[in-house]
Amino acid sequence: MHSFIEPRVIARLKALPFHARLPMLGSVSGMHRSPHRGSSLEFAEYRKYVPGDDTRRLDWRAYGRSDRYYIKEFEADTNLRLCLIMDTSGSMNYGAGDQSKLNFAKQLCGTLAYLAAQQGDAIGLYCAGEKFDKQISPKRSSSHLKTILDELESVEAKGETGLVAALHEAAERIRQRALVIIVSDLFVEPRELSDCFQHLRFRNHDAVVFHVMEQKEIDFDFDRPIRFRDLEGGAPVLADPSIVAGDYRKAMQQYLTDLQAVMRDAAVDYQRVGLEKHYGDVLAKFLLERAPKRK
Amino acid sequence: MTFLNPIWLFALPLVLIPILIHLLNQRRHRTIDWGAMQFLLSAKRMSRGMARLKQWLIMAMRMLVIAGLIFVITRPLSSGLIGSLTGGKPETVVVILDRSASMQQQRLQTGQSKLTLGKQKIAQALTTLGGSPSIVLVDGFSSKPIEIQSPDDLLDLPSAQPTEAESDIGAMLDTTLNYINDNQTGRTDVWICSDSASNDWRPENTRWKAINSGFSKLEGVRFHLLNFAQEVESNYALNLTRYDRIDSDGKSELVIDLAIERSGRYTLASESIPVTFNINGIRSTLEVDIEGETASINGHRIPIDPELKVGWGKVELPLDASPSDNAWHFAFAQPVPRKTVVVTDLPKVHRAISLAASTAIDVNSEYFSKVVTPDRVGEIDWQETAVLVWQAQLPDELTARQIERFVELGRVVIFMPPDNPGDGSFAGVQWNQWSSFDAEGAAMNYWNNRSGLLARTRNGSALPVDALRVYRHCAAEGDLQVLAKLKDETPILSRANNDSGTVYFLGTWPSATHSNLGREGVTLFAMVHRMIAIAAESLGAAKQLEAGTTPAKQANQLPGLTIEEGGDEVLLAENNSLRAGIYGDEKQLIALNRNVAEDRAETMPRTEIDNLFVGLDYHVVDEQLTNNASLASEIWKLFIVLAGVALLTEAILCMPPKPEATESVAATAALARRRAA
Repeated sequence: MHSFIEPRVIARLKALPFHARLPMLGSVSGMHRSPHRGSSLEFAEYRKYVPGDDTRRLDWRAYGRSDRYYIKEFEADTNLRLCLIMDTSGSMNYGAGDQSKLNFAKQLCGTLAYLAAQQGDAIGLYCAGEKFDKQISPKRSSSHLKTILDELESVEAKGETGLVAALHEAAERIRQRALVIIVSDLFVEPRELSDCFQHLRFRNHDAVVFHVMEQKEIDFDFDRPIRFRDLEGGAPVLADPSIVAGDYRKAMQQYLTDLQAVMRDAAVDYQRVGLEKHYGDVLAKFLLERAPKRK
Repeated sequence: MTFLNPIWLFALPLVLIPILIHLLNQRRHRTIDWGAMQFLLSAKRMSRGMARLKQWLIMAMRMLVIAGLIFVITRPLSSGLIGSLTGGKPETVVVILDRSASMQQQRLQTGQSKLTLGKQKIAQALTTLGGSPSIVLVDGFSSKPIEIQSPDDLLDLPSAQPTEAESDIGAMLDTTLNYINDNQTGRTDVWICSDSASNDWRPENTRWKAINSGFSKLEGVRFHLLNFAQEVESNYALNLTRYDRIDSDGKSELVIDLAIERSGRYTLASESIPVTFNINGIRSTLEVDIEGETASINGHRIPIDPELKVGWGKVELPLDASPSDNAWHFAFAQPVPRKTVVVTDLPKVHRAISLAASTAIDVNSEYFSKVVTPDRVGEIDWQETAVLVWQAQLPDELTARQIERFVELGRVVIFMPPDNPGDGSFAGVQWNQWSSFDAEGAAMNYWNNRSGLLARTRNGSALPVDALRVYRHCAAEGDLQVLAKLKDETPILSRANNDSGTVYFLGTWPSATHSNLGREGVTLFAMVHRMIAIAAESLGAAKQLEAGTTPAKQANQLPGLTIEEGGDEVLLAENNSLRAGIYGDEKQLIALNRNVAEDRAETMPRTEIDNLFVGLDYHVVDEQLTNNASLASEIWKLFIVLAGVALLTEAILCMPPKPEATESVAATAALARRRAA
């Protein structure tokens, strides 16, 4: 068993369906809506008969009432491609206590991969560090899940962030529409991210962002001069929080505001999560929000 | 600023503690790994302005708090005279008060005079400074140092009360010098309270060199001068120039000439001043119109009882900022002859003098002169003589004592050098040898035209002293006040610095071979009649004397007349001679008045004061009547307030900014609420 997978959390989340918001193009039948009509039990629409249509799908009752030929269509259910993009830049090593942002990201990605595999979806993993070299294309097999979990277990965070390039590359590589889940601290200029998400959106991907942050990174509530060592390898900075805290908070607030605007414009499902939260709660909330509303 | 506990000033480096703590904090930083560097770098770039200034302000406030507390402990005193004190409390404090008439100038709103304010300030400063030094007040009129117990005694002591006399600051400093030398007073502070009037300081007096030299030899003596040099805004001064009793046709009248001078802001306006006459208790008032700076009333007649042989009078102006010059007292009696005795055996010497002395300038009085040869001095009637002109060898001991008593009565002596100056001396003065100038003679280089024999006339005109030429002269040497000098700085006319009376030394003869004094007779005539006028005041049953002079001491044996109810207060008998007023009885009256030089007291320029104290440790504080601030009030409360304000400012600056309700904080709070629920 992998360290970031908790059976208790899996058991709790198993009951919740894992849906994409957009129709998916799967290779097999699954739990997700397809853009094509299919043979599920869920009625989709009536349309006029055109020559060449399968006569078995004619609605004879409608013919009896209107003396016209109508074809009765049903929704098609298919599986999805879940592409997990995890930020493995050095800044993901920051955390509070035993919990780091990287570990939190592993927990989120591992659990989502497990849930997706359980409902027959294809799973892929992309690690966006300094280089975008660890890429596992989506597949739907139990052995593939193990490969992904093993990769998550072994991955380490280091170097500068290459998230922007990685997202553009992922948008190009993932050819079929997919559910793209990005777990990162997003320490990138919001306008650069805007291009990335527009790119993903252009490729018809359903993008989800888990923005992982530690509360201290937002509040900056230190009380003594501190030498800040850059986790991404930059030069250390000596700063007196009593002098810089105000401006830091201002800059952070501006960044968060801009980021939200970017996510809203790109129709990205943006989830900001703090390390003080339990990943199980985060995922439960996420899955509940995505569950189809009953009429 | 000075401090009562200056040792604590060594603690001032403690103000650097906040800087040290800041530097230590900078060194004691811890290191943490950090991801959000872009925001930190951005914040550091932004915080170079106001935030950094705020930090420096906070540090400055902290330093100010520490400095304020240290200053509180050091017990600072407000600046002023004692601002010059740089530590070390005196063992002895000598107080010299200028009690001359001009020090009675007051602020009308408070009635507080320069002398009173000066005394209060010195007493308050001495009390504040503490340290229990011996306090000595130098009485300028008895030349005695008086030891006092408490600084507050300065306010009430008779020897610290105002007078209408002239002060002699030099003489008081001389007394101080003797006292310090006799008593080995250790570290001594000498406080002088004066208005720096030239006639009270007499800077031209040769005595100053000796005083300066004497103090230069002492260590640990500091001088502090409270200088009330500011002149009053407006003032009227009254001066009686003549008061004669005239009997004609069985009627008797007093004929009075008076002059009123005004100064200050009234000088432009034309106005009428009520002048009150009080003749033997009978009052009358005269409105005098004044336009410009002066007004004169000549020949004002007041009828009196023909049977009144001896009487008194007082002329008075309304109260103003200088009360000492508002009144003039006089006594009158039957006029007595004004006799001048010339002791010489040289006709060329006495000719001009006798002519001048026997010329009457007052028709009611008889003027005559008598020549006596040196060997017949015993024939002189000392009681009836007004002026003694002595051109012979300086008198022997017996005659000298007689002449001393003569001048003590208020009479005048003028010495001229003998043909062959000997070794004799009088009042510590002796003649040098004769010397000659060229045929053109030596002109005057300097003469005192403010007071004395060569002063300007009543209408302000100068005597033609510059026309005088001296061909032969013989300088007097000794303790002298120089009244005139020749071009080679040799004194030609001097006054002896003796307190007992008026003694002049003229270093030439009024003969054609020695000077043109006789030929240019105006100056000699004025000199002779001024001496007669001085002496005449002490002749007869009614004497007109100047307060504070030796002849005026006769008033100490006489009762003072209370001229009006609540009017002139009669002080202790020993001080009668210092206060203006009428003293005596029906047989003998003495009228004492201020020295008129006090009315026109010119303030010495600062450079002249500096010259007198050159080389000495002295400090001048310019005081004003409107300045009631004490010289040495403790101001530690000010520093408490300062420290408090700094503390408050520091607290305000340190207050964290109002927290912004960020989304993340709000979300955290919402989660916490949910968990709690």
